Amino acid sequence: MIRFEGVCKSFGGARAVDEVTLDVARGSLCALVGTSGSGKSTLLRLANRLLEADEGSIRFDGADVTGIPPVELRRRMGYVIQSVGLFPHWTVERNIATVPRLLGWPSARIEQRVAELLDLVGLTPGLHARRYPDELSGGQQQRVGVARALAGEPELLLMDEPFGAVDPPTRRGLQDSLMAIQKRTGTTILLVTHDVEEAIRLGGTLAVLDQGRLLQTGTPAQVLTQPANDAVARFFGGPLLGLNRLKALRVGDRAQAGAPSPGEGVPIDSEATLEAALARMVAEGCSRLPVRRLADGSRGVLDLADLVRP
Amino acid sequence: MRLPAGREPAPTLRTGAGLDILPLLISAFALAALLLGGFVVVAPNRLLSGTPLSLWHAAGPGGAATMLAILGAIALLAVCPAFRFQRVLIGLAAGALMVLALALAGMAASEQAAAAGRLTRVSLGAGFWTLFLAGLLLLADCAEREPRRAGKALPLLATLIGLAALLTSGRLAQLSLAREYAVRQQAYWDELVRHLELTGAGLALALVAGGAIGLMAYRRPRRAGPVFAVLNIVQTIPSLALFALLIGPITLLTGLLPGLRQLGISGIGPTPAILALGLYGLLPVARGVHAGLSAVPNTVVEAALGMGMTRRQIVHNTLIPLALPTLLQTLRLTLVQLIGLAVLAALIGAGGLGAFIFQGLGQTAADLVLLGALSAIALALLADTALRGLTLFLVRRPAQ
Repeated sequence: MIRFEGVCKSFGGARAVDEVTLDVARGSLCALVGTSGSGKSTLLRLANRLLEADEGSIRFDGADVTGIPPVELRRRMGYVIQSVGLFPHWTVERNIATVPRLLGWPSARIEQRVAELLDLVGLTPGLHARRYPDELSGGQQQRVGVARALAGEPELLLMDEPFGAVDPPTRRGLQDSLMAIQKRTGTTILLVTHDVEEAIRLGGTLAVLDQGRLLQTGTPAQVLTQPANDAVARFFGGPLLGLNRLKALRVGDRAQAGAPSPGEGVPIDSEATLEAALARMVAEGCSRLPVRRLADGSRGVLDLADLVRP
Repeated sequence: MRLPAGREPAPTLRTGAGLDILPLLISAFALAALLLGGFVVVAPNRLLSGTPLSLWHAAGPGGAATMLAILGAIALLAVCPAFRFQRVLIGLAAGALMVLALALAGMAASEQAAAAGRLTRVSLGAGFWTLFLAGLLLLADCAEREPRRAGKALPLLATLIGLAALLTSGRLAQLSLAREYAVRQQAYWDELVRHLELTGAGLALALVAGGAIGLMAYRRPRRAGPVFAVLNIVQTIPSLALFALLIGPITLLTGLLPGLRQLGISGIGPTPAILALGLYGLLPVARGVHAGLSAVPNTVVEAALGMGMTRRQIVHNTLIPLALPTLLQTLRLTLVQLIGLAVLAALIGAGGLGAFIFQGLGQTAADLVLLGALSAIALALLADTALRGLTLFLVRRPAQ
């Protein structure tokens, strides 16, 4: 869907993005992760030409972005920023309708789309459509921000620390919604985050950036079990990397076939994280859990030793 | 519901439930002044100073009683438990107070003129002005704190209509102010129009040039500092000096370019006056435009850009509507300031309401001075009120 190739961008002599080559497949979710100043936001802003690359090329759906007028390009991509940036003088529905209106959709279609999106992001059209942004909670504002970004049926959704400004429980709710939305719409998502847990939770592909360079790409499980170098390991927890690895791996990755002994309690789903499994072992004071494989219903067991197996 | 910044309800001088101290204080103040000071001043002729006449003597028991009743009603409304139309009623009573005070003064003037002859002059006294000012304060308080737009407008409009009806009815004709007006009716309207022309031209100049400077300062923040430093210096030149300072250069210019003189430009008269007014308006307009645009959150502009709005759409959809309250306030403050400053234009031969003030000063005719000054004040108040109304109309308010 979008491909960066040898992309460089400097600000006053300092390389913010250095020779980055990255391919985000259609329908996938790619999380750009890294510390502040690692160049991840810059890379995102190069995609919709809020910034122009110094070197290299960016291809969007096969076409070089420099060949597409910025305004047209941006209308084909959704854009969500951390501070949301909702228009305070417009109602929620008017905010969501921004891009459809720019695209000149007929009003009936816009109205229908707004209702559909409010529903998609978990807001109630009758309750929230006519409100102004300052009458909503922070989490609701973020939801409107996502709805607004999706309104023009974008081929690609760019998100710059979209859930950075809300409290952790709200953030988890928003992450769940985002994953559900992606499942339903199949939109390609390129997301920037400095939150390790968020990056692991959202899954998809991780692209780890440090000082403008792309250090590693891969699934959370790949990156956390085989960090490419010390910088990647440091970012994912340093000495606590092992704990984060438990968040990225699933019970199914480590469970062994075999019949559970009777009286071992409720089986755990094979799709649950190892972290959840460990939490249950700690809570229940046991070192073995029965496992139910979701795919075929077969059973297995997970031993504490399986968690720490290299 | 969270109220965003700038929309919190205005702080009130309320203690406990219902008791509203401000109207109470104002009416008590008005009552004290009425008892202590003269309501009107009666002088044997236009130039001599006169003797004060109390409300009781000037308006008779009936007039005085009505006045006291209105003051009492305001005090009563202020202390009774809060109810829906409380502020509107206080505002209406304040308007009635102002109209009645003027009507009583007019009647007193007619009586005195009938009794003591044509040369006698009846001026408005300290008691009258205190009452009138009290009414004005109460009206302003009502307009400020009443939440509903209609509730804000009703007392103001009712008072304006009442005052206008009184002014045109001829009942005030024997007041000294009205007699000063009567002998120079044509000149009065000419100078009033001239005053508006000077103010309008100065304002237009300030809006165009100041707007451009403010926009430039917004787009190039590094230049904002020096630009505002220069404008600050302009602002510190005493107003009279600025008017006078411009006479020299313009005379020099018209000497060098005689064509300018054929366009009606000369060193004294309207040209330096308009230029000076424009220069004075420059700083507030530039600052207001700069502040208004700078206050638009960057994130909103970035979001607009990121969603594919063109430059023009960003200006149209975000910058202008979000800066509008500040821009309108700038317009209002600048206009009011220039209406006041334009009084000085008379000193360099540009005319305007200041002409009456300086004539009056020359003749020691206090009421002629007042005719000019009050007209300028009334213009400023009207402009202020009208623009406040426009702001209320154009700027979204949250649902109550």
